[in-house]
Amino acid sequence: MARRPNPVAASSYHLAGITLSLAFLAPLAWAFLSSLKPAAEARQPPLPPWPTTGVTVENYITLDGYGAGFWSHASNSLIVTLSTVVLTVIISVLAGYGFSRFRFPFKGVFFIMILSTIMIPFQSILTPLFLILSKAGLQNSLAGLVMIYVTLQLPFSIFMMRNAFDAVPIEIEEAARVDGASVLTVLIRVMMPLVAPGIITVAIFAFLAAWNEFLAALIFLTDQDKYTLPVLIVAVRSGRYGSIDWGSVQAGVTVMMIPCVILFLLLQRYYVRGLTAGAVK
Amino acid sequence: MTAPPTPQMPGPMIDLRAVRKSFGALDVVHGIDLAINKGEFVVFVGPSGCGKSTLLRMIAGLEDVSDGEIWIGGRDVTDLDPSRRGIAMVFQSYALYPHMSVKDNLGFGLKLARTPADERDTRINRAARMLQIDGLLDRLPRALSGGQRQRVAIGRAITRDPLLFLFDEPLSNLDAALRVATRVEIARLHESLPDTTMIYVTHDQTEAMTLADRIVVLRSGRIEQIGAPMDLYERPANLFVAGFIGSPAMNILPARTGPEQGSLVLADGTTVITDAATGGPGQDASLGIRPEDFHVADGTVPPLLSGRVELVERLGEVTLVHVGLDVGGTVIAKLPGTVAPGRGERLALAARPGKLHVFGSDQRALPPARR
Repeated sequence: MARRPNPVAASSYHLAGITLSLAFLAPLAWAFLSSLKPAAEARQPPLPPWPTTGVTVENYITLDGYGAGFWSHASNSLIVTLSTVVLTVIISVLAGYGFSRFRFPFKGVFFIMILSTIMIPFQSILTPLFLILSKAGLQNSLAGLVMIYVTLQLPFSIFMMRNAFDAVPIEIEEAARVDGASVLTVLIRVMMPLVAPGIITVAIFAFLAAWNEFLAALIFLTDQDKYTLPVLIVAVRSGRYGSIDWGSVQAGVTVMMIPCVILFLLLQRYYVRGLTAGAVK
Repeated sequence: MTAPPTPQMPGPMIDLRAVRKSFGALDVVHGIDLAINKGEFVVFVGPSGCGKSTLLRMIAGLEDVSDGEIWIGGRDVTDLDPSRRGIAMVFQSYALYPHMSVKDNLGFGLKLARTPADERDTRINRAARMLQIDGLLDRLPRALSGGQRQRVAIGRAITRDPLLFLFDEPLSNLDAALRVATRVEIARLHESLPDTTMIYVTHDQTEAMTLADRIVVLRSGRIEQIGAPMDLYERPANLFVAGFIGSPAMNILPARTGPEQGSLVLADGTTVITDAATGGPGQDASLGIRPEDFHVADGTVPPLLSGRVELVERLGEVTLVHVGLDVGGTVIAKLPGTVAPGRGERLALAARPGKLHVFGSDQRALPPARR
């Protein structure tokens, strides 16, 4: 017999859930509300968080006035981010499939080596990376930045994809081979749909990491026109003539959040499935 | 894509020539030679780890061959990719494509072979009707029961109209009732596809006995015996086959050869006369008697063995009587269901000399003596 839920337990459960949600949503709401404050009010101490002297979009207009214009920097960010996502997915799917299904010498060693690079603090290799990119003529270019992001993203992504492929029973692949499929056909038509949650997780991670990355972008991009959005916002923060334009900073933060939120809302279903794939066999 | 092998070739459909498989230093298949004719239903049977599945997977191309050659339909396919061998395989775990409907599962191989859509549909529908899954074509595999999934897996193999059909323990994941029903269906399938060669791997001797035209008994990567089911049952070549085919297993008693041709001396000195050519006296031998070949000695024939009843299992149509023998050891006698000796009772068992199996010191069956 199904037990009727205890009303006290149920309401405290919901209360806790609502409180936690509010705690996580509050900063987002705060940033959005502050971005609507007029410039004079935005410089005041931030309480209350909502605008009291009228609502304005002037911060968004000011934001567009910085650097090469907001859309120019947004497209830098988009180019870097989408390239990172596409390259990361392609390489990690192939590598994950290889590590999961093929036998080759030193497989375990290679895998551990790739994984162990996660432990190296990125900041500690900035200098060598800078030198390498300079030598390769990729310093101060979006392509160079994409290569850095992909490299940083790969260890986790390959690990993720190997687990996703491991979770697919080998017989399914063998059945496809016997059915007449080549290795590539098996990968594209049989395996890819089955590891889609893993691919989506890898793509979301790569997107968020590349979209929000600041330090590498700041260091490797010297030409202001090439700044990605996080660097632009810091430039905004530093302000013109020494004054900090908090309103425009909050406007930048708000705009930057939008793609992340949309992406997450669209794909969260797969995201959770991908993270747990391979955890339980 | 190469053209499928032509069916009108001379010689066997499948020819294994000294096929070996080793994983590192471990040899799992030791030089198997085997020819299988077109349309034959051959069952590989043996205990787990005997190499039967490995052998099947080598024929399918899913496992590399360490040494030797595999010929299918007159072609050397030893190094050919599984996709180009013109075979179909049914896996123990069904291995359906989870993201495709039943219809797409059935048609995947045809689609890869670029079969025109209308012919594809015809073949899918024919296979679906044959297996009574035509009402399920739009479902995904996860919405099917175990038995339905196995039918789809078999259907996927049928639609491709292969020359060679491989089954890797296809019934192991089904419950007992479904296993019997599906076994009958596979037997019917074989009858309705007389030109299709089938190889079936199982550890279940009932499946082997009921389905096979020929059984190949394997142990530790070697063929122990090849033959028609009743051949193996009536004339097992060695102790292993004798113990493996038949249920309950054949009773084996240690003995020594006696002074006369065909005579065996048991541990307590009892002499048993058999039809076998026992050779010289004093050699180690084994006497084998199937439980169903025993009957209760009724005084008209001298008893062969006697002892005390230790356990009685009444199965209805038969009674299994476990008898602790006076010569030592226990035998199981399969007696009519009407016989029900009490526990502890003395029982004398007899068997016709022609039903006695004799194995030499090398565990091989001794041939019958010429009279």
